[in-house]
Amino acid sequence: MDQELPLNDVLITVVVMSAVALLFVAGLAALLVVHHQRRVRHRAELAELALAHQREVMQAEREATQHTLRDVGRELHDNVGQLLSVAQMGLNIALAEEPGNERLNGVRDAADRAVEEVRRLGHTLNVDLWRERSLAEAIQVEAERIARVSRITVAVEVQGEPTEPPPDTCTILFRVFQEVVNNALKHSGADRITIQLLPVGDGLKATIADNGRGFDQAQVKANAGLGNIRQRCLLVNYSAHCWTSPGEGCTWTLEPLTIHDPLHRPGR
Amino acid sequence: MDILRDAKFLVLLPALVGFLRVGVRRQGWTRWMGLLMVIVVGLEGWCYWLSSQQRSNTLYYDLYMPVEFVLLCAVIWEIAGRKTKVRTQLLIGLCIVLTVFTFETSHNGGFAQFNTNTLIIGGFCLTVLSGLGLFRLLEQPEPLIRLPEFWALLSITAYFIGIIPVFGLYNYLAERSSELASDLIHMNDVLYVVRYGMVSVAFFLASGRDLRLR
Repeated sequence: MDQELPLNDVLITVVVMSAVALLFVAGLAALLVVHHQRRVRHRAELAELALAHQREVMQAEREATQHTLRDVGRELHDNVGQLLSVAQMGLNIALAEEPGNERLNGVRDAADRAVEEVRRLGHTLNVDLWRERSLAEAIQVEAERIARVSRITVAVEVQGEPTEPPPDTCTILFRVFQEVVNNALKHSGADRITIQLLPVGDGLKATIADNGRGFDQAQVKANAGLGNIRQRCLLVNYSAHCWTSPGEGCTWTLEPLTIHDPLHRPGR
Repeated sequence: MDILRDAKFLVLLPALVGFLRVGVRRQGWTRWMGLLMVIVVGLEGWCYWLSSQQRSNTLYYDLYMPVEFVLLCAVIWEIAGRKTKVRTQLLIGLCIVLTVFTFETSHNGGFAQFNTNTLIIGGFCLTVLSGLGLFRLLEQPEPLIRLPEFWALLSITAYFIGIIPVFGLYNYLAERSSELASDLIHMNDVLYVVRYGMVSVAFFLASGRDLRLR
């Protein structure tokens, strides 16, 4: 009996040690899980901070660009525009003296167009302009200009009353619209561009379609222009999708990202 | 205590089903753990039959030890093997355990009794190595409890850290009281249930997912 008691104690000690070791592992596993959760959360926070920083940098770049554009626009309007107006007045006086002078008539027409173009360009560059006119109106004016200066028919259809995006968003969407239309003019060989604008959620959906030769997206995947369009739209929480194939024309859709979209970033 | 022995066999069932569920996607650590499962099922069945015939089964358990160690090293290798340090430590551990096994088998009466030293040293090595593997999983973006690798490594750590005191004193107790030694083995059964319970979770989580860690 005397010998069995220590053996029993040995058995109990072993069982207790084993149980303690098992509890230790359980505790360690729990610690690892908690530590891992914190680590993942911390990484997510760091990523969010990096994103916020990137956003701030982009915002600063955007503001700097807008500032420059505003200055250039003002300079065009106030300086070049004034000089052209002076030339226009001089031509008018000269024409009053020689009403039948065809050459002077032609020069005055050219000066009129130049004044109008400079004014239009000055307005386009002036981002404060969005306080005076809506994006839909700007697109319509731009479409009319393109129709005027090229041989392409441009049809604009505005459905309902699209909600006006913030001025920054308007500027970027307008530039994207210009780039898309410019691409169509330069590369598609289209004779018709159709633009549709309709209200969607907090913004507007723009569809720009041409009836040109289209292209194979796989072959121009590395093209910086298309990526640039998408990237610029993402900056203002918009998506840009391009549907095209050889011989089928090209259709771009610009629309606001929903909050469920993985690319959507809050706070923009 | 029969309930523990039954539980020991019963817990193998979900683990085996889990392994079969992994199906054609068997890759990486699952194939080694699965192979070990198949061997364990065969071994436990055979040893159970031998013990029911009042025959010794220590030979088979002793032979199983290095096989188990190698296969579990392969499991850890597959999970944590991207880190060169873990690979080196695995190879060192493997060499130590196989040396101890050879020495113990040749100097300690062959397979007449459990090669507990091999089991203790092997258990210690596996505990450390699987622990290192667990730390390696901290790099994963997914929650740990949803990672099959976490449960696979935890099963190794939990079992082997628990059996070190059990088999550390098993031969000492067996020489003095076979009855107490037999009671002590029930602690192994408890650890066994914990281990294969976790292996079952690992296999069920592994089914239908890509097992390549980031």
